[in-house]
Order: sequence, then structure tokens, then C-alpha cells
Amino acid sequence: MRNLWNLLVQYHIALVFVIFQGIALTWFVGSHGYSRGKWVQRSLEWQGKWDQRISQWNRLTELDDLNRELLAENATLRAELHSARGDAIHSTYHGAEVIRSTWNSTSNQMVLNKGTTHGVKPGNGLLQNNRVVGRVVEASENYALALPLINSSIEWSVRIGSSGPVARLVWEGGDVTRATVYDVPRSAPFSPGDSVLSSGFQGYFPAGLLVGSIADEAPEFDGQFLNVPITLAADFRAIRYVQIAAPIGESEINGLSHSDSQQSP
Amino acid sequence: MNNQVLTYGRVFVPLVLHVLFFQYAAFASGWWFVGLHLLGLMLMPLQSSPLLLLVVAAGFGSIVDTATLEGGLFMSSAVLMALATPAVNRLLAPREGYEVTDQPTVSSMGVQWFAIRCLLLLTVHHLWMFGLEAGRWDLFPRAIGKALTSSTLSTGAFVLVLLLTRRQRSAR
Repeated sequence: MRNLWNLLVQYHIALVFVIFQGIALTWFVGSHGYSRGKWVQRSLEWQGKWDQRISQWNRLTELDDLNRELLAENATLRAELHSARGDAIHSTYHGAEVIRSTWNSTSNQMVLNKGTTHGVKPGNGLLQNNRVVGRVVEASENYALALPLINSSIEWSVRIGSSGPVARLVWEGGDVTRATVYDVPRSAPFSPGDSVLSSGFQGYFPAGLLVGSIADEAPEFDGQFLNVPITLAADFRAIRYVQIAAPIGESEINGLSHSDSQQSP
Repeated sequence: MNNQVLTYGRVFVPLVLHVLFFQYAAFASGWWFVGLHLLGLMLMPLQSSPLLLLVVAAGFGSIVDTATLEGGLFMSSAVLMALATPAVNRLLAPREGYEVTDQPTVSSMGVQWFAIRCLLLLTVHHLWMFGLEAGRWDLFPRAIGKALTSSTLSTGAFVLVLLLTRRQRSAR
């Protein structure tokens, strides 16, 4: 016992280092791409208020009120459009302002000035003028944390064209205007400039929203599949206002998939 | 008493400025990240125990992580930098060792000593941070490039900051 104590005293710096690294790395791994819990919600609330204040100072000379009105009007019109089209999952839309956004790391994120009191929940999708931007992963009372398409830790379900194959979209870091669609069947017909749309399968957005377009580059062969480079539609460096899409009937669908998984052998 | 306030003011003011105003001070498409809180860590007294350095670094890192919602990235990198600090201090020590009155600043140790120490410590921090943040082997070359660019440019900026504040003090 005494030897063990001596050993701990002798190597206490290394021990403290390992403990701190353990805490930091567990925190790091556990917080990328998923909901992050109460502590982050508090931090988000505090940080959101500060960012909002900074953002207000920056905006003093801009046509801010007009932007807000247009944003609200866009959200209403979009909801009516989807309702008129009779989409399978209707969504409600809230306008929100991006008060913080990063685009130069591989785990980029955004903070929005709307939270649970405005009906925002984790899993809601983000749009910029009908273009897919990302999804909400955490929401405090007044603010929400969202991960954009340009976050390399998450994958997105997309469709090539309106009736093409469904594949997965991954942003690999670096250029914020480019991403890659993986697992596209070799037989799928497409050409540069074709639209890449949301599949709607993940439940964050309605199907058929613009994600990007096929880039004018040769796809990479990967066995039976192609990896196709695309140009993203949203301009992540200039995003200021977004619409938050909250699917209606989400809980009913989740309930169905839950009961299905419980009954399956 | 005044000296102690000045010493710890030098350590904490950069952290406060970083959290409030310079969280996203990244230039050239992310190739130059300015971690102002790291300047505070590097200004910890030369006589600080390795344990104190680790604890302060963990505290600074976790505060920045909490503010930027980065989840452990800055804490992990700052702790590694703190672990390397005593070794770097020994490496750059004068032949007769440090005086009790020596401070890790430009005015006390000279531009060359501060710049080399700063470059070494920032390189350790940034290699770990950008490497961890890259998360994939194919992004590592880019992460190394970013780390070296950021370390070099931040070293220049930190030297400049300390030179400017030294001049202001002596002018009074």
C-alpha cells in the first residue's frame, strides 16, 4: 500500500494529465453530432445572449427589421406551399437568425436565436430559401445549436434528381462549397448540373428540397458504387437568416417505428 | 501585492478577452486560429509547479470549450501544452538557471527567448488541436499545415502584443 502511494506521489503529474485528458476526450467524443445535455443547454443560453448582443451591435446600420418581416413572411408562404402540394409530412416553419456560425473547422456549428419556447426541438431541419442547411441538435429555452451540412461528423440522406437513387451525403472537410454523395449505384443516370435533393427519410426536412447539384468532376469508382462530388446549394459563409422546419406528426411516426421495432423478432 | 495582481492579471485578461470577443478569431479560412487564452497560459510565472499549470490549463480549456460549445477540444489541447511547458522552460533556461524575478515575458526574457518558447508551445497545442479536430487520417496533412501556420502567425502576434504593452507601460 505504501509503495502504491509512493508510486502515485512520484507520478502524480502524469496521473493528473491522464485524468484531465480522459475527461476532455470523453467530453469531445460525446459531444460531436449528438444532443449534448443540460450543461450545454445552459452554456448555449448564456452564450446565445452574449452572441445576440454582439450581433445587435453589428447590425445597427443594417435593414434588420425589413429582413425579419421578410423572413416571417417566407416561413408562412413556405408552410402554405407545402400544404397546397400535399406533401407526405407537413412541416411548420419558424424564421430564425443565425447569431453564430463557423465554417473553417471540420465540426462546424451554428447558434440560432430561437429555442424551445418558440417550438424548436432537436431534429428540426434548417433551410435557407428552400435549400437544405443543417439540423438542430440541441435547444435551450431561447437558443438552438445546429449542425450544418458542412460538419464531417454527420451523414445526410439525399436523392439524385426527383426520382433517382437515394444515397448518403458526407462533407469531408476543407472546401465549404463541395461535398460527396456516397453509394450511388453505377447504373444510376445523372450528369453534371443535376439536382441533389433531400430524400425526406431522416425526418428532418420534407423530401425534394435542394441540397446541391452534381459537380462537373469525374465520380470515383468504389466497387459497385460511385462516389459523386457535388456543389452545395447553401452559401454557408453568408448565412444570416434561416427557416427551421419542424415536421408535423413526427411523434406519431416515431411511435409507429417504435412499436414496429418492439414487435419484430 | 501589486506585482502579484499584475502577474495574474496578465494570465486572466487574455482568457476573458478571448471568451468575450475573440472566440472565433480565425483568419485565412481557418488557417490562422488566434487562441488568445493561450497567451495567458504562457504568461503563468516560470516558478509555477507543473501541477498548477495542468490545473489552470484544464480550467482555461474547459471555459473556452463551454463558451464555444466545442466539447473538450480546447481543454485537451491546453492540458497537453501545460504538460510540455516545464520541459520547454528547461530547454530554454539560461546556463545559470532562471532568476526568481524572471517573468516569461518579452520585457524580462527578450524577444528571442519568448518567440522560441511561444512557437514551441503553440506548435504542441495546435498540432494536437487541429489533429483532433480533423478526426480523419486524410485530413491530417492539412491539419499539420494549419497548426504550423497558426503557430507561426500567432507567435508573431503575441510578440507584437507584448512589445506594444511594454512600450505603453514604459511611456508612462
